[in-house]
Amino acid sequence: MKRLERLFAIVWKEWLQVFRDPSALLVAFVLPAVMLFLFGYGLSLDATDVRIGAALEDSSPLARSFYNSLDASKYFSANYYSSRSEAELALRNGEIRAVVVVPNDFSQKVGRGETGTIQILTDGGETNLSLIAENYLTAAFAKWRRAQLYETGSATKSSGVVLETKTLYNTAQISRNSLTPGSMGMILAMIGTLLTCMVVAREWERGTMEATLATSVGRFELFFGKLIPYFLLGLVAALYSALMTRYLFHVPFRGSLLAFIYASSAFLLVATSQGLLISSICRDQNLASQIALLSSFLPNYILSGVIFEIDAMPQILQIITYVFPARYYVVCLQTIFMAGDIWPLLNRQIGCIAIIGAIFFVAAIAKTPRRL
Amino acid sequence: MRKVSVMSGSIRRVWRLILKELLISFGNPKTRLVLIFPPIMQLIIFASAVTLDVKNVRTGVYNMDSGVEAAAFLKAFSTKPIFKELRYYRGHDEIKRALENREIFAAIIVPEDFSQKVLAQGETAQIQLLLDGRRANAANILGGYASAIVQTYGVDVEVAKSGGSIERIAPGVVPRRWFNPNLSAHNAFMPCLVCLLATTVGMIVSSQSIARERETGTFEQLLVSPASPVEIVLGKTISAVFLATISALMITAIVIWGFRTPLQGSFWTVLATLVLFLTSIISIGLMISALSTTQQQATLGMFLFLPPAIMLSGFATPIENMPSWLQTFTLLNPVRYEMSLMRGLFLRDMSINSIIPCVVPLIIIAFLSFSAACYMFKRRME
Repeated sequence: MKRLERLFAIVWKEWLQVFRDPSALLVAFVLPAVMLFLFGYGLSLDATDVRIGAALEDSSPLARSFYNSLDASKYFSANYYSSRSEAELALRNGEIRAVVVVPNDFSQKVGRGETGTIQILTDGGETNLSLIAENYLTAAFAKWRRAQLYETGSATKSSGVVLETKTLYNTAQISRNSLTPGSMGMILAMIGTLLTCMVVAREWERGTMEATLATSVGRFELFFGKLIPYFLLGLVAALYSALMTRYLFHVPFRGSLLAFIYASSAFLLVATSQGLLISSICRDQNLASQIALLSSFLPNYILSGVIFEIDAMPQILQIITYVFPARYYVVCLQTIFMAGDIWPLLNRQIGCIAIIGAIFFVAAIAKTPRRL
Repeated sequence: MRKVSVMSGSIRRVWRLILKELLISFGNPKTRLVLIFPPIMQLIIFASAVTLDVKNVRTGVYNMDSGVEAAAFLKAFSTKPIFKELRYYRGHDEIKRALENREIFAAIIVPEDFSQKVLAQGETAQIQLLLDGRRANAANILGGYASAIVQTYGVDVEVAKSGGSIERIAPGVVPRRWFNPNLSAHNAFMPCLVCLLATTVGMIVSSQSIARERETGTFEQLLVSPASPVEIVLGKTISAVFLATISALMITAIVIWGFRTPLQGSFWTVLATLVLFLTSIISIGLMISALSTTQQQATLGMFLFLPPAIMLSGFATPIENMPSWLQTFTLLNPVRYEMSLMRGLFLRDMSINSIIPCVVPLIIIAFLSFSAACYMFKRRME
């Protein structure tokens, strides 16, 4: 009973401090909103309105008809160039992303019954865009060619096998729908760590830790007393980030609120205890903030599978990603938002978060000082 | 005569301040470690992580057709390196559950009449591909690969059916990728990692520096020193740029010689743009530091600046995919310019005409944020 009272006293003290120093409230309420706003709009891998150039060295009606077939797509807009060098210059200057060259012997060759050949130039520095533009142009050319040959009777209307692709949970393959819940996970990972990374170091630096340790408060009370207020702040941040994701960015929310709170609580407990651990080890605010930044931003950005596919990474790296709780939380969020409550999957992910959390807990409690 | 002595006095004071800052940084073994090990470790780890490729995809198959044609068709899939393994399932529910639980990312469903339709004249066989839309970009790229495989296979089927009476529609496309012929993610992203890590280091060495002096009480000592606010900020800027440049040089060296990333432009241009870029990042860091009264606030400022600056730099997701108001907003982001400089200098020998539009904004940003830092620092002193 005494323990609970002491725990409550510490929580109350931290809570008062939160409300008197506005920076913690800023971290919980303003920072996630600003970041989610920027990332929600800013992160997109959907190549919409990609500008491509068509250099028609051959200006025959045949070449023209191919050019016209390009113009009809909603993802690509084609600019016309009369020479290859002109189009190449535009590609070099970044005005267009790809050039399709129709050589001057194109219609001649096609007229002789040979396969006309077109050339596609892309900027290899933009790997994703290069691939998408190449695939699109190749498919467009094949389609146009088939239509041509069908008219002359030397091809069937459609190929012998057709593929019917259905993308579950995200029919239009909108990348924002997966990136926004993903960035929400990254942001909460940062916020959780940032909220607590200074709280112990600050007390050491200002000398108030001595005062706390002189009381009868124990390790557990000190640890959880510092954790609970920031955990609750984090949870509020998670809830309104979810509201933003749903209503501002129109990502469907197909799961239940219960599943969302369950996954978010597990994750935030780990993220806040990570911050406390850093804080207890460093006892120096400057260093604690540097380590918090280093350990919570770039690793979560690059290794959580939000943007870069974990499956495509080398084996060793895939193993490294297992230690980042954000990886599991991102899967939970993407599932709860887009697919619904798929409990077997969610339980597995939350189980992994809990294991990492247990390790952090033990380490952070062990590092929480009991005496001077 | 007097003017000269004023000048030299000022230079001497700035020099002393630089020495003081460097002594503090090098004197603290923890700070030394933070500047050296995390960047190298992150570079090594991230080097093979940053790829937008889709590889090793776990794919499920539900084959309702026992014919030879179906097996041949599936073979066309299993031989491609993009698919890691084909797992066989019996039944729609089973394969759907596997997809739901992320045991597989894609599912190929071969209908009962596939072989029959492949062989029959005038019939078109259908294949269904289910993709997991929770990973939208991977779904998009994988869908592209799959339709290319099916396309090629379909043409073979058609040619076989007609007994050679129709011609094979070869794609007739010659793709050429400039600057990075294999679309190597390594070559495209390593230069960006230099920029990314330099940004982090620049922020770390600068954002706490003034706030810390205020909190530990050494700010008062600066107040009574003969140095003017501009001199103090200059001293802090130069020493921080020096430290961050050493760290950035180390990263660049590892990228060029350790990872053998081809560098088309000149090393000296890379170095020069890095110094300029770090100056602008560090001025922003000092501005944040001068604005905050506690280190906690400075940390907050750092978190408010750094993640958006990196995420909106065009590193992983292109700037041109953003809404136009956000594209305009990124013009204020120094990381954006350094990102295109690094890409340009490494992948293609950027011409001076394309370097200038990136360098000028960096100079303006550095100048403005340095002035702002001085102004705020001066106000704090009064």
